[in-house]
Amino acid sequence: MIYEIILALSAFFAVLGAIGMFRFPDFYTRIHAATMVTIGGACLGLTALALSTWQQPGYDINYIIKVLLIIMFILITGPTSSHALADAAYHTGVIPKNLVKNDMENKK
Amino acid sequence: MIIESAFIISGVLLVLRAILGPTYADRVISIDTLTNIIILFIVMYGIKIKNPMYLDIALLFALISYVGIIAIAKLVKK
Repeated sequence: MIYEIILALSAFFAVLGAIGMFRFPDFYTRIHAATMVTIGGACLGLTALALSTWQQPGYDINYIIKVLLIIMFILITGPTSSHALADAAYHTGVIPKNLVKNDMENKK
Repeated sequence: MIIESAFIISGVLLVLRAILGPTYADRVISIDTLTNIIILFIVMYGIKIKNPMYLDIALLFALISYVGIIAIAKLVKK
């Protein structure tokens, strides 16, 4: 079935992003891996789960609508929270590793 | 079975990063990411036992997580 392939792909992305989250050197590169787990892992997996209820006995359209609502919510709030957290981290003194040039130092 | 194990391994790595993380931002972003994995598990369980109420719980969980992350970001920046 198609949904099992998509679910396996999302598990692959989740493990890959978690390994990146574990091994990347500083906070600003870990945001990249976190976004990979969020979009590639959770959103793709939820899409596969919504597809798995399509025209199955015992399931109706409510499942697909609610799962699509959760996917929309994660797609809106994931980048927003990452951006807010990166901004707060910069303003509280979290600096990148191996920093050569800081274009933000004269801006507020 | 293999797929759930892969998601659990991913969650364990995220918890390790939340424990080890040198700064507070590492911990917060890894808990934020772990929330999405938990939402996926809640939806998976709700679809497995055919109860659509678990999907509402997952939506509420996503909402509370978002509000918490924004609150931490605002509070620390002050």
